[in-house]
Amino acid sequence: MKRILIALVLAIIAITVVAPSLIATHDPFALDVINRLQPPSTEHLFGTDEAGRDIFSRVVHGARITIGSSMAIVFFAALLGTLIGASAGWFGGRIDSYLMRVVDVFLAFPYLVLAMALAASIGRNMGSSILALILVWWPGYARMVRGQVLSIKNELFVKASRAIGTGNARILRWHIVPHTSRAVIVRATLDIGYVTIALTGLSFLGLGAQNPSPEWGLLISNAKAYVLFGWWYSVLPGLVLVGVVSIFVVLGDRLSKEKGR
Amino acid sequence: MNPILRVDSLQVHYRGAPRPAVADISFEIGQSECLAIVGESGSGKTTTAMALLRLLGPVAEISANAITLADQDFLNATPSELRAFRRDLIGTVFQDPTANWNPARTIGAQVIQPFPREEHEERRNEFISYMERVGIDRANLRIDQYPHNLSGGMLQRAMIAGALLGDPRLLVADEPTSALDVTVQADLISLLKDLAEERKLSMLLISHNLAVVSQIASKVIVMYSGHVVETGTTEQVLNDPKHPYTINLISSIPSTKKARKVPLYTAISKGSASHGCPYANRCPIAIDPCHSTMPTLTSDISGSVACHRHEETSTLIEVQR
Repeated sequence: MKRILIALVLAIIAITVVAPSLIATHDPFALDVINRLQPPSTEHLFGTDEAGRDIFSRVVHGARITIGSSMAIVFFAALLGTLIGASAGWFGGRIDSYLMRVVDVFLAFPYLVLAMALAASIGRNMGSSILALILVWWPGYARMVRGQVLSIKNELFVKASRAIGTGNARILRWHIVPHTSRAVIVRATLDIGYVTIALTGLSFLGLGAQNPSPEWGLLISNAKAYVLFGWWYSVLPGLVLVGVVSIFVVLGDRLSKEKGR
Repeated sequence: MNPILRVDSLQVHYRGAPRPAVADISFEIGQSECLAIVGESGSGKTTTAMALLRLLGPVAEISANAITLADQDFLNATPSELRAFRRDLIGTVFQDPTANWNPARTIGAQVIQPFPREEHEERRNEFISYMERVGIDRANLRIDQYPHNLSGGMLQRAMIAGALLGDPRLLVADEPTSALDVTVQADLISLLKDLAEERKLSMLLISHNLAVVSQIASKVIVMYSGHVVETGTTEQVLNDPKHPYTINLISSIPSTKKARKVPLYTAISKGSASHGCPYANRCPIAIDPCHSTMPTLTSDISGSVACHRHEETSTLIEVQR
């Protein structure tokens, strides 16, 4: 039952990301100043914002930007981290210590502060936030994959494979990566939620998406001026954000338990 | 005739260890000859085999005057040469068949992948025929199965079949039967013996199972604590052992006929015998020079032995069978 529920919610999220116009009821950019700050109704499910735009449609269109970007960030961070962690674990010695010191430097900073600094220095737009988050997110993967590689590289089947003449590259691709991919996938699923929080955080602070983008962090940031006149403007998008993050965390958690079976 | 494998004065030292894992070992294996290295756990027999294959990695320092296999220099081979040698010249069979297969890949894919892509089809068919030869039924289905679909004995057979791919000159079998149950052991031993005869394979067998050794090996090296203590033909070493360690090793095989009277020396005091014979502390007939001077290998027609009292051992200790 829980499985079906999670699958259903994921399917809805997938549809919103791939084809938001199927779900959105209005054009997210259409201005209608006469109907500004209307409370939720059957016409406007989440009410309207200060320019009379339909908040529900903006949230739906924002999903593509927010969740899509988070997935991209996680994907590239996991890829970069896996490559670096695998090389460190595999080659060991000096390469390992250099790469891991770099990882330590990144992990030594609070990630959001570092991401803010990076995003602000690259430029105030969505691209720079994405890049900044990839840069602060890969070290976690690198450290995890390194540990996995260290344990798998001493497995007997790796030695056996070497004994029949398999080269380094092939052993990495054949024997090492398949055994690390599971942990990476579990972590990536969890991280989609956390990255979403970080990314909306950056936008909320004005570093990521810029107006009139319906990105969720920016949306909530715009709403904060109207908290007293229109509770729906900030609360409803906020609840959607909480729900989406939770679902990815729950999914990641379930996947990690699956692993133990 | 040139030997297939020639090892001259091989030494292996693990970094940080007080004494070498293999002190000094030299041997030759001729065409279709089977040499067995026997000894207890920690005697350096597996280390010797892994050092030959250069599989020990950076934790071990290897030195030797020469290691040649089929006239190829193994000692100074570049990594890519080494990979080709391992693929083409040597077949390896390891101890634990379940741990030596990657659980995430099919068995066929695992043995075929060292070969160039264009040979894959041909190697696949070759592997199927070898699998049939080693007694795996429905080999054409088995080849696409994962290791968990096969039993331990079958996986070991499959490993032997895989070792035959590429027509190697030497088969290195590192305790090929230790992890298997006794009935399967007997089958595999006779299989290895048949294969070696039919394909004129030379074999290096690492074992602590003297029954296995007596069935296939023609020559035996007995190792103790990294040192070669006795060598000779299988018959000579097993029937007329000269070194007290070999005598005790043979006597320690449990027998249903008689109660065992072999003294059990459980304490292995490592590192204490730095000057003398490594076996001196456990030896029932050790005399003063044994604790102070290292005995050298003394050869005669039948073999060689490293013991100060080798001429009189057979009168001093009796082999119990």
